[in-house]
Amino acid sequence: MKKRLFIFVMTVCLLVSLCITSSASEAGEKVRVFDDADLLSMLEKEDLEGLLDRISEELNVDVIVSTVDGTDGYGIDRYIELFYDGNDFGVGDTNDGVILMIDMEYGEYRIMANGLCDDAISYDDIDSIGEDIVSYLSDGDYYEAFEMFAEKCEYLIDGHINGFPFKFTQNLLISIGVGLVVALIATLVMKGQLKSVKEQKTANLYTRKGSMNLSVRNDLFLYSNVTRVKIQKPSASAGSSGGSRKIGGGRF
Amino acid sequence: MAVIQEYKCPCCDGAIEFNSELQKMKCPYCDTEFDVETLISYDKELKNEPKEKMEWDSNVGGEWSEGEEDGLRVYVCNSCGGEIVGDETTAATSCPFCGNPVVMMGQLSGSLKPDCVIPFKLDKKAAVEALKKHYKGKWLLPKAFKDENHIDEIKGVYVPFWLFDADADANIRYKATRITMWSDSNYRYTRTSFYSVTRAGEIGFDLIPVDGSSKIDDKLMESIEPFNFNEAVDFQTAYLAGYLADKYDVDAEESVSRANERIKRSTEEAFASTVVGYNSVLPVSTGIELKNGKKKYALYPVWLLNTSWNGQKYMFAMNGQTGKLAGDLPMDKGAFARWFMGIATAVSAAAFGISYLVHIL
Repeated sequence: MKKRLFIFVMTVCLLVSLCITSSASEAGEKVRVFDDADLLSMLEKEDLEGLLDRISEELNVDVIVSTVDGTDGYGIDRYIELFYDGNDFGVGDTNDGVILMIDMEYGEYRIMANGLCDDAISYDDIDSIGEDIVSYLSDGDYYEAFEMFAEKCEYLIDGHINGFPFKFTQNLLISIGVGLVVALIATLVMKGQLKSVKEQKTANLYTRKGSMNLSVRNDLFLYSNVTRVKIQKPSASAGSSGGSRKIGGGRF
Repeated sequence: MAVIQEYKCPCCDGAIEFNSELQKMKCPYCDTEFDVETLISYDKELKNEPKEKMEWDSNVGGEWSEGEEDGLRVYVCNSCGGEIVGDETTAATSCPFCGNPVVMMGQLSGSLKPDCVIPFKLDKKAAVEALKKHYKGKWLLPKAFKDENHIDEIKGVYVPFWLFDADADANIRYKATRITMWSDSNYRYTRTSFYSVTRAGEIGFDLIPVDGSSKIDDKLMESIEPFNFNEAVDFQTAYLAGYLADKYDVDAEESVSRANERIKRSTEEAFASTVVGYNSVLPVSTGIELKNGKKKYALYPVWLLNTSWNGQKYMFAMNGQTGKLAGDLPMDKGAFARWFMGIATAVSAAAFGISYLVHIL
């Protein structure tokens, strides 16, 4: 009972604090950088804010970065949802936006994509962004990590909305690779046509018809083992937010 | 001197040959046709006639040095008296002086007598046509090789084969696994069940051919299998007239190991095919015992075609019964590079074009 009461009180406190943050920002421009863990210098924070504002306004979504020193016992997966929904982030009816949250207490990061950004950013994309930023986070180069996150998100969301730019060099290299592989297979097949002298491995041609007779046919069960793998599922919606969402991340 | 056999035409006394199209003996001089059996009877009668005997002093020429004549056999042509030198395995050839076909009886008598022979069904013309067809559709074959298309030598040869019959008693144990998968709302489950599977029984093989001539590549002979043994007939030397023939120089004891290899592989495959319903099957122990082993000695018809190009010799063999031809061909390295670059360029351009179309659509 005490535990439930504690969680309720903590949730109310969190939401109140989040609402204060939100209402404070309503007076001025929308805040998209929350550096509660104090990882960025003033200059870096300003630069990052400028970058996130530009991307968010151009693409009509919210791109958010948040750093925390613990999640008040919620765990980062629940906390990031409460944070996003409590601050009423996202644009439009489906609350389109994407957020990166760093928890310095456990060295974890999460990326949550909501609404249109959920469509634009796949789990593979989240994994890919994670792989790119984790080395920066491990080295303490937080600004570089956040900048990379923002740029990757911009590319993916812009590509989803306006179509990805044609990657000339990449497509050319892939096409050449395909051409070389096809040419190698085709010419090796042609080369194989020149060889017709082959050893006969079997005597199947000389099997006496109907001569095969099975006298023993024994299938003995020995043992079995069972392995199980947890099914990865997207996190459930926090309830108050519109639009679908996905969360992914890891440690650094 | 060893004894040789020629068959004479009862009409014109010319040397008579076996005709693969007619499946009869036909005189190339007067075109008269005879059944093989008729000619053999006629030949026996001829042999009973008294023969002239003229002896010559042959004390001319030098002596063979020691070991030099090993492996050589000397015969006298019954038609022209010319001396035919063959090697120790030559069983049928033609006289180099008068061209008459001759059969070396000593190479085919007693324990060396074949049990059966498959007569030639296809002639030299068919062999040449088959070789031309063999060249077709080979994009990397040098153009010069194809265009010149000169055949240095073409010969119809009765190749000695050992034919092995055997019953294989097999007892094979396999380790097999069966995988089943299912899931609930939280987990995906995989059950791997392990089985010990045993199969035992027998399987029979008939007439597995093994080339009994060391002069001819075993792989080349295996490449033109199978021969249809239903068309084999009891051996008669008359079938050899007009063709070359060798006696075996690899005996049955040496050859049987090759038949055993093929029987073992086939037996393993046949029994493995009865182990069904598993995701993986791995043989753990294999016991194969052969019994009721029998062997036959047969002559099979093969056309051998030799050609040379760029200083290298190429040999082709055609099954004289079915027409199946085999023989490795040379590769034009320049053509290989041109085809490779051409295909690579065309496919790359097409792939790039498609990727661009997919992007703009």
